[in-house]
Amino acid sequence: MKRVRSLAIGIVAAVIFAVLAGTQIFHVAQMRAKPSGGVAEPHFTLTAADGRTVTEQDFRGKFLVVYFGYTFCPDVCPTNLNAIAAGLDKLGGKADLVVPVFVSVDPARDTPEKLSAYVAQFSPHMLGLSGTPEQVKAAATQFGAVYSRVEGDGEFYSVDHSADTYVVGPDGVRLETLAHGFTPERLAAVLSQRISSSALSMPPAKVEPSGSSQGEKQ
Amino acid sequence: MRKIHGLIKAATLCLCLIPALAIAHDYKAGDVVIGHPWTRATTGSGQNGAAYLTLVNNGKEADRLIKASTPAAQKAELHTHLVEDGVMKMRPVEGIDIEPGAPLELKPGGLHVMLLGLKEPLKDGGKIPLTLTFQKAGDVTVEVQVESAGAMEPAHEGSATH
Repeated sequence: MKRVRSLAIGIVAAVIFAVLAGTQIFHVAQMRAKPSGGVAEPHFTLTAADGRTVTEQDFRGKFLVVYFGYTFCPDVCPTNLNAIAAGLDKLGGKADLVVPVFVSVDPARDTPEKLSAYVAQFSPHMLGLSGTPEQVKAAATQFGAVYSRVEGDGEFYSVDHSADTYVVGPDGVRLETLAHGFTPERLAAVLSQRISSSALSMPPAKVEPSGSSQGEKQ
Repeated sequence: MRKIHGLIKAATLCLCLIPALAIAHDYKAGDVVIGHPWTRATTGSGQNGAAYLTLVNNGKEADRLIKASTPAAQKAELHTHLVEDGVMKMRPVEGIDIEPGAPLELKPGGLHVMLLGLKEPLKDGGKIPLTLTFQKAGDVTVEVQVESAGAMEPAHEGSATH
């Protein structure tokens, strides 16, 4: 009798263990399923606040730090954009080799004026890009970013979105993906190391015309 | 064991909140102390904002924040953040329970008061009124300090000159 009972207890314990382990495995699988997709060398065609069309080719020779969000986002986007701006500040002169880019996933509301005023709050060097819904979708897919509009709040709707920050090298190849909540120090360390090991650190850093034109908006 | 852990956590949070609470920017609603209401600057009109604050229940019974409203926005909602498969989602919550001895911090990336459709851009250094409704303590109106767009925490009182 005693044996039966301990066997029963054993079975129950095994079942509990299996369920717990299962949920743990499921949890890990879920974490891995995180939007880390996208391609190694992302292409995009988007529109800058001044109306010009920009593609990934316009940034060759520069490091890109790309974040997808929307200007009505009051919490997550400012947190990451602040971390990007503060991270670049820590790079000193090397920051000239980096273009921070904010891509709006809400082109319906984010007019060029709204977009440029929004990014300027974080850094005068930050570039706000958007485009047609198809262009934005295509760009997001290339990076592995996802987003979807939340219905219910009328014109003040929010947009669910992934909040990763992507670092792209001067040859257009993706180097790093930083998840939401990274520190400015972490971004600065990543960029600093990548810049040092790239050919760009050799010649004296000069800002190209395309870089200096970013300050024109407002 | 878990209880002890919780207690230590609560105690640590209490200690962390002491300096914040020592500064004048606090409000009381019954036994609930509302500390350092703050928000981030916005540009343009009709944008959304988020307000943050701390809630400490010095009483013996739990209370619940059930509503927020402000003349500065079309609508205010109590929100939380969920992260699902790496996707950030803001969702309304019906209320925020404030248990005695369990200080709460509404902060970026977590619980917040969502300000939908701001009537005017929030200017760095400015203030907006926010009325909080508690189930037991009733209404209290606090002044929300506007910090810079990328601020991660409230500045100290008196530094509003920047």
